[in-house]
Amino acid sequence: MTGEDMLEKQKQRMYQELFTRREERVITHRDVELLRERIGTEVPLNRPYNEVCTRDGLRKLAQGHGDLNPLYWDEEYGATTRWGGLIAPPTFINTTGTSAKREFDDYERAKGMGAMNGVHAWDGGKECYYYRPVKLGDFLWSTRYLADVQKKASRFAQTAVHSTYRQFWANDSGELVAACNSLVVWAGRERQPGERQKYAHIEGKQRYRPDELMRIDEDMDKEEIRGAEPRYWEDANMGDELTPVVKGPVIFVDLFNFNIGHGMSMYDGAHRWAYEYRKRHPNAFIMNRLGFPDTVEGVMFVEDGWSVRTGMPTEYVYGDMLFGWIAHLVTNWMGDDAWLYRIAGQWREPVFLYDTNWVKGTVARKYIDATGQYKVDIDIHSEDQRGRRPIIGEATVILPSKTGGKPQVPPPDTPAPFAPEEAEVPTGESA
Amino acid sequence: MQETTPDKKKGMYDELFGRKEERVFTDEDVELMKERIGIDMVSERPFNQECTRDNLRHLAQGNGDINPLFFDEEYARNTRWGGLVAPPTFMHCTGTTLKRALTAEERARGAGALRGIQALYSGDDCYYYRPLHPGDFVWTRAYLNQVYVKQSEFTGRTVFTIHRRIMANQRGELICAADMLVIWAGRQRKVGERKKYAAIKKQYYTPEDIMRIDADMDREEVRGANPRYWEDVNEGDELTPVVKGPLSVADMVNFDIGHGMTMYDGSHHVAYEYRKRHPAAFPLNEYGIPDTVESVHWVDKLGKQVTNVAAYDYGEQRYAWLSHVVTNWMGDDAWLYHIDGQWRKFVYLGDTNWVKGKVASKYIDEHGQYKVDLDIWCEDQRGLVTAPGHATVILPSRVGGLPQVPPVDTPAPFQPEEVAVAVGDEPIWRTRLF
Repeated sequence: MTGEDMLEKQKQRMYQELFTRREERVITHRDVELLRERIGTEVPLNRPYNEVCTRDGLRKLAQGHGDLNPLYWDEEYGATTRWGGLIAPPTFINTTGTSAKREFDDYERAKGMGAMNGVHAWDGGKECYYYRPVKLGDFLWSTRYLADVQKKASRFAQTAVHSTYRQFWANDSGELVAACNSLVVWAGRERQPGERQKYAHIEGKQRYRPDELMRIDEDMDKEEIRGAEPRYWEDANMGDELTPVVKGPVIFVDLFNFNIGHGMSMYDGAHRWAYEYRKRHPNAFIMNRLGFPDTVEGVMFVEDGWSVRTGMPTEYVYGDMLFGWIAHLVTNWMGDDAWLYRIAGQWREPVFLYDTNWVKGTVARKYIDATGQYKVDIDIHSEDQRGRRPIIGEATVILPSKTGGKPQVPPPDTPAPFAPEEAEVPTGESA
Repeated sequence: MQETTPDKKKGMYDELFGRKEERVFTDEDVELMKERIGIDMVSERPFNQECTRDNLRHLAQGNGDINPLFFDEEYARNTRWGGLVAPPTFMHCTGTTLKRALTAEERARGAGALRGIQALYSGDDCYYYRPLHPGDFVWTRAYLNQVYVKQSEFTGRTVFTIHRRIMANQRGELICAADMLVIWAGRQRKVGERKKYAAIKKQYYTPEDIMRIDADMDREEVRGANPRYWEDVNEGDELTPVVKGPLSVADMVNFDIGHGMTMYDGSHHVAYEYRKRHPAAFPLNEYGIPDTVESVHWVDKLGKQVTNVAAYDYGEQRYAWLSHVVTNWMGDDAWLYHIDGQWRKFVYLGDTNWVKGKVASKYIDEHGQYKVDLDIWCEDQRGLVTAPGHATVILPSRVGGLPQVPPVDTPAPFQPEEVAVAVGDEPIWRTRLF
């Protein structure tokens, strides 16, 4: 077959996928079986959004999160901290990581082929452990694989499947930097838009009065970056409340700013890039109202009508954005000397466009662990203007101590809670 | 955190919640604006402070440019440049000034000129002298250069302002010089009275339309490593078009990722600190939320208030599209010396533009450089030319070899003193977010 014939064949397949009306799709047993076949197969990670940790990359990420802590973007300030320069905010690892493995082999590519094809996937939450800071110029190696697949009952869709992806990051010397479990929720679209139950009480987008806006502004004025003033373990008490961070009203621009810092996950770029991507992944595109292929991510930033296809009352935001919010709450509170060891969040309800969330935390537990580390556990949740709690989460922070000094980094029990062989990341030739 | 007195917040809220009058510019506006001519502007924290390979790749992706010269290091190593080079549009999103602040006298000059008048970035005219590589830092000088009044069929009397930007690398060597055109349109007419765009409707597509656009994309040709020799080029030759569209919100997001937003510093608290200082940049949307004026580029309802039709593209995108058709055609050995373009019509979300070009003339200039002049333009699915432009390219020659870079007549067409850029000892990395 000539190159031209192959292109034609590829395009025929693409158009068939694109122009055929896709049926509302239920998750089948076969989907689950197929998906399980993929467990343990390492996914190649090429050209992540940030290949290298740069000043521009860190600043854009902080701007997208709404994080004013100069530790992430002011080099002069960073030089005065225990880190001796800028360090990356916790979310940075999720924008970077290249695998030594370059591609699937044929056997791996065939595994689980077609699993969940056409079923909508949601970001359900994330749990991350941090072992070493990421600094300017760092290149991170990474491994990622599907670790677990579970069937769940759901209020939103009749069947839902939870799959967990595990990812590890290491620096050029092979030292472990971070580990993450990401939850992906697959929901079959069994219901027509009119039958929606779970979000029936949400009446579209929120409107604001001037006094409501002024209250939000005031709460932003109250946000406190602990920064250079150490938060000593001795001074933290169970029940202490963290000063909330306020996120909202979330507008389209916030999605754009987040994307500038964090990158898109669905296609490689605009125009010709998107077209080349579309030939390989027609499923990642839906025909829009004007009759041209648009991204399924349009559920988040194309106004009116798109989100309804997924059973939502209006546009909603990225899960990774919410992860940025809870990390912001904790780093604001803990100060620059402390070490965020673990943070986890679940996105229990979607955060809709124009919603405002107050992200809150309470010190749940204070203790010295078996290895002598001065730790606090924090319970996290967010409250929105409707009184919902879309986010719940928890964090473990190692604080500086008046008697024990600054937290040791990496923590002595690295790579807890993983087995050492599990957390090994193959590194390649210097990139 | 920046201290904000209650008075200052009151000023912000007055601006935010107060009713804004439609405003027509006055002769006084024009005279005030002229007072600002020649004042060196301050640019402390451009979208890209450095030229990095991540930044270059994001830009190429946002432009829809698959030439590996801009993102594939292994490929770029084997070109005459020995590594990645920045695409022409990179100059739009970088450049730091040595000057750190305006003086009180400078700040007072022309204060309030054209406040509340819609400004449209409408064209650019740019000369390139040297390539930029990862690791390079760009110093810049920017100032208002000209102010004049013109008649427009869209809004009647309009003000044209020309903003000059000169860029040099960390060694003080001239990189590029550009004159940017901004048109200030007073909104004298009500939406219903506007005639110019009355016949324009949002475009709908059939599957056949999409397949035709796809086929045109398949025909795009990146000349790349195959040299385009001056001797093989003839007047009247057509450049292979590049296709941009149907323009989606995702395209706008991808462009922003590479190119950066121009209007505010970030989200949430970062945006709030910006809002305290610049409340006028945040009109309330229909839900009562301070939104950005840039929303006209992705929310049809808001774009319609400006264009009478729908949300519309950024002018910078048109600049990227015009330069894309030229760099695709000229090959990696050639040098894009000059490019200009004017954004004459709006490109609405959903529109498709075919970016075209033709060789207008072919000559050896008085310095022995092998040049071609190109007519270039964007043409939409309605057949409207949305952006006419020109380019001058120095091609490799079978007898004369590779184009000399910098070109022999640098810094033509400017005076040497005009393009002097103040350069610091080393980049100032202390950045202020607010």
